[in-house]
Amino acid sequence: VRLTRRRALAAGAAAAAAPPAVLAAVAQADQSSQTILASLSSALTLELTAVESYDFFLASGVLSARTRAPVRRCRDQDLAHVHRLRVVIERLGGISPHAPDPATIPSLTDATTESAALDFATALEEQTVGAYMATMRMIYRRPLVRTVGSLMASDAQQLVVLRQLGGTPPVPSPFEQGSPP
Amino acid sequence: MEARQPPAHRRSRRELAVAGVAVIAGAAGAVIATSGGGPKRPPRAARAHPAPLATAAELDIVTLGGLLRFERHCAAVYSLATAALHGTALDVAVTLLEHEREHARAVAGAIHDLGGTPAPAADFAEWAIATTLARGRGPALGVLERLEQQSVGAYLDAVEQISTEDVRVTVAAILGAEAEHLALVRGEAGRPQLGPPFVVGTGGAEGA
Repeated sequence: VRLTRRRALAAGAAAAAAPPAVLAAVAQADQSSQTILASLSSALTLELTAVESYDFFLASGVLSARTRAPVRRCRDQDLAHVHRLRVVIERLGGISPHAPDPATIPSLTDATTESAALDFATALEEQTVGAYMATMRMIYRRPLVRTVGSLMASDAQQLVVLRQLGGTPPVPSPFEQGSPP
Repeated sequence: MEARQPPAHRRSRRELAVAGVAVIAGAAGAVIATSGGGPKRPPRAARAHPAPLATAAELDIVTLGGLLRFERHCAAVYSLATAALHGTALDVAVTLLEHEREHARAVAGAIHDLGGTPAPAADFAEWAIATTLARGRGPALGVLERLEQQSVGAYLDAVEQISTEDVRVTVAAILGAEAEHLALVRGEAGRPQLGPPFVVGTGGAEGA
């Protein structure tokens, strides 16, 4: 995650004026902010990947009529998550990642059946939940915790829909932790 | 300075999740009010304030205590629902009953880990809900949907308040599961499983 120009300038100005102890504290705080930004960017990349993947499946004709509407709903929700995360990252002084080119998403084009597409989407949403859980470990700023919790819960609900469409147990565990990206 | 009263539904959700925190916050607020530069009030010798909580862990224990009471309430409602439902709705209720029991065990375990003692279970107080559950599948699933909405709201409040990292992650994992329960119950009721893209839960603590 790169510093914005404004943050770089502000950091430079602070370095010129602050005593060493303050500089050390600022450096530690910046490190923490950078870690949080990296984690949020990781979640955003997964949300962007999900949107691209849903668009790919919807355009490819691999989905049946029964599956298209709920998949489109998941896609629309993830797009809303993307917008929210971009705002959050910008407010924290970071730069949001770009949407991946579908051709570069591993295994996406290998999912040539509805079952494979649903498995792919389920795995992706589980990773997204996992990314939010990882972020949850490192944030103590209360409004941000609520935002991340709300996004994570939304993706967990998508998992129920995708698992049911895929014929697997919709809530397999009393604790939804997702999976590591 | 007077604190503004939150709306009733908000208040009840907070009470649900963090019953007891309001008392502590009230005590802290009194300290702040009397330490300012305004005219001094005479001391209230007769009023006993609870001892202020010294650590973040103690505050977490209070928050978890509210969740434990709510999980026990959820388990009681699901237990009643298993007697009222049939077929796939019964399967859902049985699964979610076991999940709520697991949540209660996890929350009680977290209280223990933080050095607290989980409160004993209260007396059964779900008779009013039992009447609604007995009206049939539709009303019963309506009760369960509202219960899960409250649960999501309570856990969102709690995850915001918990400061112990491991406990926050456990609470977040339960939040994820409760959101899944809500989608599952909605689907069983034939309602859209996915609501707005930002899950918020609802307030109100029916019977809790």
